[in-house]
Amino acid sequence: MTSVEPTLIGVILPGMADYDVWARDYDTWASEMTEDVPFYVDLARESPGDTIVELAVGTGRVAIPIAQETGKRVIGIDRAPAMLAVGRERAGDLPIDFREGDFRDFTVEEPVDLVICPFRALLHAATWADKLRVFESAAAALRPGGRFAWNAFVFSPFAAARNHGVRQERGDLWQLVEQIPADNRIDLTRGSGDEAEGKVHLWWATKSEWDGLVAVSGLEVEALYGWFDRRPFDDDALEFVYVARKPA
Amino acid sequence: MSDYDSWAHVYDAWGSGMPADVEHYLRLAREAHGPIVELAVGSGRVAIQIARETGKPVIGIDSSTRMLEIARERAAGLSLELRLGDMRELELDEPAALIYVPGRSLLHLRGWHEKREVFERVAKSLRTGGRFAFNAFAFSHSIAAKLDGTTIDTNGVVHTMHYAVGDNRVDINRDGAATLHLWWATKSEWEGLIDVADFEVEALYGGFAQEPFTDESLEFVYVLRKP
Repeated sequence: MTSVEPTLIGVILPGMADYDVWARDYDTWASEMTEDVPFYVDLARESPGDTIVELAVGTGRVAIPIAQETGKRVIGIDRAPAMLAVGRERAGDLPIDFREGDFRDFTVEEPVDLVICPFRALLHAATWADKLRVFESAAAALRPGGRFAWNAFVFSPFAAARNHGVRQERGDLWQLVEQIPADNRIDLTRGSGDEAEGKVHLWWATKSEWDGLVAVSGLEVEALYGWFDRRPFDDDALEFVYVARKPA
Repeated sequence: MSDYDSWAHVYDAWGSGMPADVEHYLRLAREAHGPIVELAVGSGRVAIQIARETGKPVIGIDSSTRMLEIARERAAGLSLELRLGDMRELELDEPAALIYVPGRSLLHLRGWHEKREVFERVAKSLRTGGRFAFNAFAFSHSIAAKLDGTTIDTNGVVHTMHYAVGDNRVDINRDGAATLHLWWATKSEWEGLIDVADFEVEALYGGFAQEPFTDESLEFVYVLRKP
């Protein structure tokens, strides 16, 4: 298995305060996504700097292996205090600085050589303007030549047609997927038993939009892969794995 | 030679499923005080009606010689000036009061960079307060899932659709004709294009009856204004 079905469980992730409801068993939901970790660890290792910024760090699923394997410091930003609390406890003595903040207007004291936003977290930014704020904040946080890397699913109409209106169950937990094409949005309602506990939204983006965000924020595309094994991105790719660079 | 040349003789049959747009663009043309320009005018389906109904001069631009030949024949006696040209290289001698693109033709532009080029050129070619109006489908997963790989007969025009999702592209094949491509755009991308070209959104409708755009809408009907 080399890719995760887009719009299924793998898209649930931290990033906003609403996600506190997901924190308690978040790792169960996130366990399907593992192949991204070595990809982001390699980028951290290749980075000339000793500090990495991770946006939507959540419980530290990616930040912890980066700190463990590279010895570099990670500044992890997230809006959900409950996620950060889990991350802090789990990170122990590792050099990870978990900070509560909004990825649309984050700043760092010193510019860095690598900003990452794994796990499709950018899809929680609702509009062009919201996404652009993240890109511009990332561009401002980078040294010339520094990289901004993120991934997001390719919106597959075939997967969407299959999962629209479908309730996915896992034990007592369930989530309902609804597609809203007019707003390039997917609504995910989460609950247990008979009760809905919360709703999150994902705003999917096309290659055209990512290319626009890169250009307008003054970055350049260094590489676009179709998966974390760095296979080329093609017409049938199911994941955008972007590495953008701030021009030197 | 344009890829659209090989579609010219069937274009109107193929496009006849969308007649309601004429009324909408006609309304905008009536309100325009100054030059009116249609991009991707094709065989003149909309521009001819506008020239006839308003009596105002209309400039129609298209990259296909064959399309323009058909339009020229039909436009005889009307104040419609047809020009061979590429909307990505748009330049006007006199700034326009209205530039419009019906028939979802902006979707023939490849990706962000070509769309941005056109938006910026349109902004430059408009008078202050001038309008840029266009429409495009909202990408529907259910339509795509239903049509992908199927061969459809629309008023005798038999064509096959293939969805290349990684490139937000639809390939449309017809025997003996060049493959046409559409690159679908989301609301977010339109917002980005509007932003970089410094337009203001005067209205976003969900259809040509000027109904509001909602979560259920399947067509973007934009009216932008140059501030």
